[in-house]
Amino acid sequence: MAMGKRDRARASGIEQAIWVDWRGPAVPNVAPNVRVYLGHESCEHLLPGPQEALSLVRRLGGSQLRPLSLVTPFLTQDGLARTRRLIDALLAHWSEMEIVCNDWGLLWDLATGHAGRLALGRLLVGQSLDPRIVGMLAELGQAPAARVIHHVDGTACLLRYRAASTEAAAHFRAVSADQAEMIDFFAGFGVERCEISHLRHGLLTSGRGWRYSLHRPWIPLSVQRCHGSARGRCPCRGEEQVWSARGFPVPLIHRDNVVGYRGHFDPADDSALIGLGIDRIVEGPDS
Amino acid sequence: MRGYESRGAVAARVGRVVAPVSSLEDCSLAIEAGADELYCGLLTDEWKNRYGDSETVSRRQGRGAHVRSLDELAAVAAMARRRSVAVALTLNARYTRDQEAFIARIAATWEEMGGQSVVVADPGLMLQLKRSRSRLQVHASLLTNAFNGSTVAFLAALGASRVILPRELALEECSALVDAARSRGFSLDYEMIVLNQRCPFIDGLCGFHHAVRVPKDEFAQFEYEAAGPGSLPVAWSSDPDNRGHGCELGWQTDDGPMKKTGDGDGPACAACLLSDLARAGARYYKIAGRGAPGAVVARDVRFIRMAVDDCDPEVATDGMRSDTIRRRYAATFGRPCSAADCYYRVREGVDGDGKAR
Repeated sequence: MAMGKRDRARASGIEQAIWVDWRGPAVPNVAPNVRVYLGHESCEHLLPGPQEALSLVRRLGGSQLRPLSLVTPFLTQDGLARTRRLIDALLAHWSEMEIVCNDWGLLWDLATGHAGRLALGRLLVGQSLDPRIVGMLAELGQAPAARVIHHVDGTACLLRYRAASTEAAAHFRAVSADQAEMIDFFAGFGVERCEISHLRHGLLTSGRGWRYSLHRPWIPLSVQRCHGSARGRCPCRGEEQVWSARGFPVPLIHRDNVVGYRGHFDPADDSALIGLGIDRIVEGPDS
Repeated sequence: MRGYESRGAVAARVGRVVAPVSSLEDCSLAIEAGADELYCGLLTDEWKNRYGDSETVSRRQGRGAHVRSLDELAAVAAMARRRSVAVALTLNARYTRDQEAFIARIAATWEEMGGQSVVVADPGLMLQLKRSRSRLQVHASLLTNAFNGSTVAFLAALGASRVILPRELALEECSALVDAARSRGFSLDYEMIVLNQRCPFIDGLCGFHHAVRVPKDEFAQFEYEAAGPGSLPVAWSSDPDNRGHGCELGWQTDDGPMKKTGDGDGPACAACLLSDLARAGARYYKIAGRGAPGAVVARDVRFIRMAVDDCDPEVATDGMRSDTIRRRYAATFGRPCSAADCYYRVREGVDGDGKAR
């Protein structure tokens, strides 16, 4: 029988992780050696409270051996205080817990306070996410026909396609955090992991410094503010809403305070992932 | 109009107006209209040929939103110096490894020209400037997402002296983060956007690609290749299917079409909140809109200039201020302001796309 992607990755030595939605009705059965991700990437009001998180991890069969990553969003001052209480409660039981930060301030506090193992979350790393970028790359995009553009002042022009330059293509495939300055700075605080979203238009890494966690299949594209949050109520929808627009290559999905899309863009050969510095795959809750 | 000295006295008490410029000509217009400080981007031929004219050098796209050459940038610096007006160079994209040296060279050139400050979003560039002992003041862009005082501490550690706060904050959240940073010993300057765009998405957490827009953006036109008689001029783009920014694509849902932006009908505005912003800790009031025609910027500067002057307790009382500013908004922009136009006010039950929940 052919090996599935997860089996192949495990066989290649890539760490397996799974997102567990703490709001879900049932606790999934997760193998003891599989890392659990919990928390929320984009809304501070959708983080669990300390007791909810502790209870969930225990029900997952948590022990000192369970690899655990708490994912935290961008944070207001109030949210920062609440999140610190959550982190402190979990670290008291799981001192090896990893904290995936999507807020520079929290990352800085934890790094300078030497609290927990730290990773740069997907909202901080600076990876190009727009699915339209594929169409800009010469070897991936198909040249669209020229078309006439009418401007508001009554003039017009003919718009012709020219693929992005080699340098621009390299820029779109790179991750901003993979700059030498950032690698050296964060390594000084023991921060050596980056979370990335996709390989849709390839990935160029320097091959030094960061170790990467590849999430799939959910790719968060853009984040909204919960304006109701200051009243203690989060208006994030529980259900998903599909957004579509002419000329946009994929349907977007609005859930919670994020729009994003789903897709698997992994190379067939997992050894290619290792070569890119990817040593962990994080399966989303809806994979 | 008040003279510069008088304006400076008001600025010391209340705050300064920071205006966008995209050319040398724009500088004169903005200064004459009452700007205390300016900011601009730079998109040279060299950068454009390498990385295109989308948002790779700053969070604006197109040549029209940037000063186009180093010579013109030097002239902008010289004019600002003559007029005693500070000008910041906006280098607020997230850069990648191959761009590190290039962008550092641009910053160094700006410093040699006499530039005083840069607006930066990339921690890597901040670290480069710090390591090279640059004398440029670093203004942390709103794209750094300073939603809390710890982020201010982080940005200060990277060398920032001013932080531009996210326009998605509520007033009380601004106060809380400024107080938190101050309690940790970080007394930075704070700048807040007070006029123009707002998006349904958080600026610093938006992954949509922002290319030069077609077809109806009057502020970000293409550069054209001349054509023969009877032929249309040609515009080249690596992204010709782009029909606008992600927030402007005309999204459809099962419920029907969505509003295109998070704005009301007029420009987003905080003019009648300036006293509150000052109490929260802001001292710099930024007008968004690099790439807007100089006359539009001048109009916007005059509007905010008057609002700042109104904040001066020697000029007006709190009770007079809001009504006056709202009347002036209607006169300036041709429509009355509405709650949907307000920055920094939390609208309970309404999220970024403007739909009631």
